[in-house]
Amino acid sequence: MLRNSCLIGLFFILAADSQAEVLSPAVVFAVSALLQPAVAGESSDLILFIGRFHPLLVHLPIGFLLLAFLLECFGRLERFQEAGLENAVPFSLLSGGISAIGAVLTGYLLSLDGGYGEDLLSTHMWLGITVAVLSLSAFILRTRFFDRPKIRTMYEGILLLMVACLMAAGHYGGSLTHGSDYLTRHMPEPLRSVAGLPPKRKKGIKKIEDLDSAQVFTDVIHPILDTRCVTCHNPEKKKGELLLTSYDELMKGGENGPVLQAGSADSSNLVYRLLLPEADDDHMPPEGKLQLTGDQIDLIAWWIDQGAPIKRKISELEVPKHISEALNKLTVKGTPFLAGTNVPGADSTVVNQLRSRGIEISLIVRDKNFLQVKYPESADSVYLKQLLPLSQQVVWLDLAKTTVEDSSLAVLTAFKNLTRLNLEHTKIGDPGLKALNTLKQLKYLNLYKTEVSDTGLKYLAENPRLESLYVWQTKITPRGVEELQQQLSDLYVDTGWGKAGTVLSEKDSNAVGR
Amino acid sequence: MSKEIDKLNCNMNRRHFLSKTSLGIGAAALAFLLDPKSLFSSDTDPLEGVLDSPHVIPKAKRIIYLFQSGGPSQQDMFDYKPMLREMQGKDLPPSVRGDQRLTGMTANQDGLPLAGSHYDFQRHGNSGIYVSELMPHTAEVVDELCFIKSVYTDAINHDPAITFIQTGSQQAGRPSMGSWISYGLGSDNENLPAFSVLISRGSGRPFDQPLYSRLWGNGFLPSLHQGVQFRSGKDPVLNLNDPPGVNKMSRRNMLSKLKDLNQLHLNRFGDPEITSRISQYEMAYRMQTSVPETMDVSDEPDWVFDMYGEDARKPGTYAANCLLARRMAERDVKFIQLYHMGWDQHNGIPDQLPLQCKDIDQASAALIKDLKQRGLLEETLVVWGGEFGRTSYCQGKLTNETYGRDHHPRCFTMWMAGAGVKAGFEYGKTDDFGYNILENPVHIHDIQATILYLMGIDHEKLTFKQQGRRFRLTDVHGDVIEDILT
Repeated sequence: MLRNSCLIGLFFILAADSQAEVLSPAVVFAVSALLQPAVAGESSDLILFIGRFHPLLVHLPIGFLLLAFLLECFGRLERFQEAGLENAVPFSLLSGGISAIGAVLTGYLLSLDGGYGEDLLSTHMWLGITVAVLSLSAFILRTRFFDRPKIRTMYEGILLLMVACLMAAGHYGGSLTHGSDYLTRHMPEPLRSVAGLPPKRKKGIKKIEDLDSAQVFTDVIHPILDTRCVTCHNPEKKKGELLLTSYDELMKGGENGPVLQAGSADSSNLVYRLLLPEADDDHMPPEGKLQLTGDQIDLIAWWIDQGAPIKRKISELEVPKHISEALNKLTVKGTPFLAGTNVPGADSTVVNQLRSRGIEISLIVRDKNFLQVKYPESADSVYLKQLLPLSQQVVWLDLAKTTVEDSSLAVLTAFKNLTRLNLEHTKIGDPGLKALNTLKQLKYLNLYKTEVSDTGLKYLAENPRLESLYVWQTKITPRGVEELQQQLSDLYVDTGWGKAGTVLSEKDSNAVGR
Repeated sequence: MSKEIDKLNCNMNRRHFLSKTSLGIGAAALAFLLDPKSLFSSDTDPLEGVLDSPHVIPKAKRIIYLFQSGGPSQQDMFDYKPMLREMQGKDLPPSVRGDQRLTGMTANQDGLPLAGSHYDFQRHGNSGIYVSELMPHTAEVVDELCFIKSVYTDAINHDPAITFIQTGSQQAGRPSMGSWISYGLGSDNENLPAFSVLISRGSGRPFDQPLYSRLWGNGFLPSLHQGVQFRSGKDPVLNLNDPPGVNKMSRRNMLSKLKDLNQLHLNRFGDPEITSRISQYEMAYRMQTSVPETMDVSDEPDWVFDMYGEDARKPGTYAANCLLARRMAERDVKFIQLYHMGWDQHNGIPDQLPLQCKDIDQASAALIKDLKQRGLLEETLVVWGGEFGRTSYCQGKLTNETYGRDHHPRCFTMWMAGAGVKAGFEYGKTDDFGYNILENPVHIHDIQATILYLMGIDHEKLTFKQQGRRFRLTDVHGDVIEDILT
């Protein structure tokens, strides 16, 4: 059976050979007809249509030829003698060879569309052609017409060379579509330094420290292009002849001319394509790729409207409200602390010990080691010292209605990552607040129904991230609140509903109470 | 017969044992190796949720869901449509109605005359959101609220619609939203049920559509996660108090012995429902103290009643339930579900609707204010809304004095407030007839996905395998409404 198929294959080739003179004009005509528009500089739809079968076809020769190689190797083992594996080798080689020719042709047509790095492309092309030639040579040498020892050695050499070329061609093909660092991008660290690669780049966009001094192109626009566009618009894979790796390349534009018109986002092709519906053929990034967020498009449009400057600080430009909101999200301050960082895991023995004392401890979110801790109201005394081994992990701490005292809060100095602290209904007074001024991440502080007064409030000016403060039913006065808010302009202070500027003190609430 | 089935169930041949356990042991070992946080997962305590930790950082620690049963009329309360007054009495254009189905109550009506609201609207707060004169107290807190004016549902009748918004399916039998959350996240207070239910009757239509306990049922989830109804009166949770003649000590002894017996049974059969039952008995015992303490509002100062309204002194009213909701929130109950009935104004809106609004307006607003000043609103999500909206056209005869509105699933208004949602914000838009959605439609499954998200749950990942497939609250739908999140 196998022998028959080989014969048929051989016949096919010989027949083709004898008819070459008849066939070749037809082939030349067909190819030239396809290529006609390519000469004019633009590839026709038909060419592209056929060319795009390349990624699909290309896997056939890879499979067939590797199978031939494996059959050849294993067929020599005694164990497989009975199976007659080697009988299948010619068939695999022939199928591989024919599909390799198909892959080469479609690959050539695909390359006419342009947008690939030329060096890489030509290496890939020649390797592919070599594979096709070698595989067919191997097939011919494997037939019994050439069954001589010398030729046998030559055949083995060709087979090995073919497999090597196949691997290389496959690798370069992968680099063309996915980028040359595709394989190594996620290489873990020890391997990385062995391979001599630079340390891994931080994923995502680097956060801006200070908005006013930030450069609008380098710090805002370029990172967007870098994370969403350059996987296709880079020197290796110049889609549409457009490079988005630098300012100059961006301004130069692509095959359809400039992509942006400084000063007018509305007439810039870049913005137009970003805004097209995702299903549209001209939409960028193409359907299925990582899309830009609404904020990111707004920022790019705003930058173009501002004249697309390369060296301008944000503070030098006109910033409308929605842009300033979008910009704020790019800053270190605008990033939720919990989402941005992580800490080492908590010591399980400490956690279990504390839990056995009725203290509730739970993870805030999976994949992070941050903890929330709540002391039970019934706790006779609150020894925060027990919590010290977890000082890195605890970010939400609830001590409401416990017997916690000013003196015990001193321990909290070590809890640098604390973002929410609940002290309502406790005896905490001004001295306690002094211990909190090292908590630079603190966002939420609930002091409702405590002993604090304006004196203690002053210490809180040291907490730059503080966003909401609850001081209903305390000795704090509107003046104290006002002074604090002068220093922390973003701070919201709740002094009880409906009495803006007036604070319902304990005395008042008793008065309206029973 | 059942004995033989039991036997079959317990039977396992060598091959089954090896194939099943090897995979399980391997997976367990791998999970342990990969997840150093396994110390936080607990499979012994049914009070803990199945998720060892939330999927995303939770914005809300608890939810107060103010459900308005019957379908409040959005055109008379929140969705201002001046054009309806201009076109008073004219028929709803067929182009607007489209192929929308109507209920049997208006389908055979001679016409569909548009009915303008009898109530005036005004802008309120810094956000300038329109609220009708029926809701003066809510108008005071609009800057805290996030209105979604483009909610729509699949159902057109009460029961399927409530079942849909509660369980994600129009057919009964799935777990309620609160049960899912209790199942996923467990309880923060071992003395009170994680899912508590409070019901009040509307004075606009006191004998309205009834509610069924399956609306807060656990469906196929362990029964521990069903909502527990708190009633007004001296027996808030039925059968909780010791009968006369039984003292605390003998009750405790009885429960301890019962627990041992149940444990024996559990060891023999391994049915998780037994674990559930054991912890329910234990919780019920603890609730004998915690429930009266929670329900007793005598320690609330007078100004609290000024704030929530005098109704708050009458047990069983919506206002009293709002006050209880705040007390439960302070005690870390995870899902507090209120139901206020009587919103089904097919006719007589001018007679009924003001009474309904009066029932809820002051107390809902007070709840927001009160949570806020206690620092709780930042970590509590308050949700307000019914199961569907009402039509822009009149049901029955439209006169100058009175009008009624039929069920309308195509659009209605809900609001949320607190943890993680934008304050003083309006989302979605309906057309000038208040009949179709123009912008940002929000499906019930989207609401459910968003609520779970705010609690730290990815709605696609919280599932329960039942009858051969994995079920979730949002079925196979639902998107988190990113635009309303802070």
